[in-house]
Amino acid sequence: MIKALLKKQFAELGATYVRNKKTGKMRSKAGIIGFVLLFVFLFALLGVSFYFLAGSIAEVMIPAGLSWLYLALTSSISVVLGVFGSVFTTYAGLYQAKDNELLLSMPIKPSAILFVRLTGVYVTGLLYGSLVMIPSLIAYFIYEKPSPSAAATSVLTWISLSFLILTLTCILGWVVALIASKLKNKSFVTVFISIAFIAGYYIIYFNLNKLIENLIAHAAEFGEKVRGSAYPLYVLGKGAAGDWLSFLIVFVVIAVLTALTYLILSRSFIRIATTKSSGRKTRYTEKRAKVSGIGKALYYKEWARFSSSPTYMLNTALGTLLMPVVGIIALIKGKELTSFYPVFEAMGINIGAFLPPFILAAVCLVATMNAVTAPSVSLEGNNLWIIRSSPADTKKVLDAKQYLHLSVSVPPVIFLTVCIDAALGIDVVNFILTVIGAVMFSVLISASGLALNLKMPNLDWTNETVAVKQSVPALIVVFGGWAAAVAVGVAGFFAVKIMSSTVFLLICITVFALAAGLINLWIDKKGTEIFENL
Amino acid sequence: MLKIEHLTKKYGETKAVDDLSLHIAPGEIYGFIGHNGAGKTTTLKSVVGILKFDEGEITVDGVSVKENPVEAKKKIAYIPDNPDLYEFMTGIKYLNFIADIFGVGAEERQERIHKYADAFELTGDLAQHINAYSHGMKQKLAIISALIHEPKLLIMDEPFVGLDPKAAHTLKEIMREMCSEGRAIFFSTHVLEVAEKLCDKVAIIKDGKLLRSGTMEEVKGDNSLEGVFLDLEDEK
Repeated sequence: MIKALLKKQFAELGATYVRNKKTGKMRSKAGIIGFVLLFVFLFALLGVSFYFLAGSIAEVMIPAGLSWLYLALTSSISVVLGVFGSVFTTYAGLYQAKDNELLLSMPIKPSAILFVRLTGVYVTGLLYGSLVMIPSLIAYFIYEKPSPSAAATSVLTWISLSFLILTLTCILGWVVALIASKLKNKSFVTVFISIAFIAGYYIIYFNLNKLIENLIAHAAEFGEKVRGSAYPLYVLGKGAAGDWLSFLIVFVVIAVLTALTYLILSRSFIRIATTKSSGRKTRYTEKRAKVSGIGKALYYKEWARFSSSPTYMLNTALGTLLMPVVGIIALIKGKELTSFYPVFEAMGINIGAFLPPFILAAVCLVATMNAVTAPSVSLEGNNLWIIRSSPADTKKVLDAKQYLHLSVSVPPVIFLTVCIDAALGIDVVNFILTVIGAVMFSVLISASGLALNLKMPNLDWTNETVAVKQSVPALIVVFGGWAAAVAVGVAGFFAVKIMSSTVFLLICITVFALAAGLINLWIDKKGTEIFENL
Repeated sequence: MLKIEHLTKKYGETKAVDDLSLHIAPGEIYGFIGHNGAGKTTTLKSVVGILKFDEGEITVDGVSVKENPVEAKKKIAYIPDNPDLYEFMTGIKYLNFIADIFGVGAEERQERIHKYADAFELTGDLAQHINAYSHGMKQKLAIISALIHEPKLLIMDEPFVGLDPKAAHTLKEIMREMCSEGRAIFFSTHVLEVAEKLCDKVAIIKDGKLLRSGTMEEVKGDNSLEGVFLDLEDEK
């Protein structure tokens, strides 16, 4: 039974990558290999960046005899990344899965359902944590050259910690589920908490170099402090660095915590999985209805879906929040950037000419974080019959999806471009052209997302997170958008040597407009037909 | 009101509906019965324009579903077997959304929402999000939304599933009222007693093919509808 449930769990997790949702058939071998290679590449890319970070700490701490501190530090970072990387997946996968009630009605023990769901959570946490821990262990092996015994404890400690990640993720996921079951406007609360977390992450990220420099400069002192006031961290580091007694203490503590969490969760799983919002019931009072046209009504429907789902908002419109912040930072720090102009000029770079293409490339890079249309067709899911049986023109239905993207993306895109333009003081013509170019890029992203989702829809998801987070179209749009932004920057760097930046910007605008126009033409002709046959 | 001529719908090589023809006149309640997988839902979905069909023609009040789907859909309302509604909306917002799509004016929609929500005892719950509704409440909301634009043709797939006895009785009254106004109803059901009592005409489908159709007397004669249905099911 567990085997069958595990098969279902992993089939659900991997379905997007191995099966064509439209035809129900397996993807081609080349398609599957392509997906696997893409993820291996992303994993390797992040792993390499963490290796350089870990290496810079290891080369100072390990020769100073602070291997335990190095391992305690990197282990802690991996646990934090593992927990926060998988906590929302845990919440959605454990407590929000659509088939919870179906499985609970079958002769399956709740603890078995929980075990199978936890396997998925464990794998997610392990992947996130490994992003830090594998490069950190490689750096440890290179700089320390540990004895076989110390090498064994470092690896075993990481395996033990992967269960600590699982335990902490479950506890946090349980807290999120419990709070969510009591909340009325949970989507906005979730978005607020997530943004606070993201803000915290960026603050740490931008101060990371300073933190590491500080840590390296005062490593011995820091080590003493950890030993004195954070003794469990010291035991963790000592255990990982080869002290078997310390390792055993860590192992036993994690094993007990994991067992306790499993026991408590299996007892409360039914209650949490079946608890509905206990928010106060709102009684309807008759009001005069507002009449809208079809286009506006369809737009409202898209907006209602978007604003009710934190997963949808956070995964496809983070740029909307980020762009104003970056814009304000650009206004405040703009003068600092202009002070570098003489340095660039001395290097032979005509900064006046290169700046407009650079600004356009930078804005495109951030604007790509919005891909609202990319999962919008998939999100119709079981509701598709409503639109398909109504007298709404398919083109209007698809247009509404693009209007939503544009309404949440274009204002911040304009704001960001204006802020950077003003901060860096470019001339009026290029000022206007960078704004038009950035807006046109948003239009292109919107059309591309919709077209890709029409080609690769996923309508039979069991929880919304699958449709949004495992959206292949969103992945292609984001990476394609980044590639396009980099291409604009690189092309601009060389182009301004043979043409004015104004001509280059005009070319960019024409290319974006032409591409968006062609994709929209395809949507009108083929896309509507595909939607009508879904 | 509804003319289905030689309808054929294939899924791959399998014919889900095979050369089916039916005529439903204004004022008629037409029942559609058949075993699971017989092709009832496929036929209904083809009529309302959800599924594209391979051969044949469907016209609603003289408008071709194939050639002019938007105009045809304006005359139809559809209630599926499973009311998957927009759970992110409240009941009243969903009704207003449907009214907007069908171009129903403010006064008419208010009057109809009032009338049907009261009839189905759902008025007090209209401000609630649909995700808090039970299956029966969703079914009631789907029915109200289907009636909001006063369709000429009402298509329903198993409409009585999930309804409490009072709501089922209300729906039957509304169906009779619609027919007395010259509108038509085409619905599938497994409850043969309901079909026998409620329908003017009935059609029996098996493996995508129409086995028998006509007035209740023509189809069942002196037998019960259940008896006829079981006899036809046993035939090869």
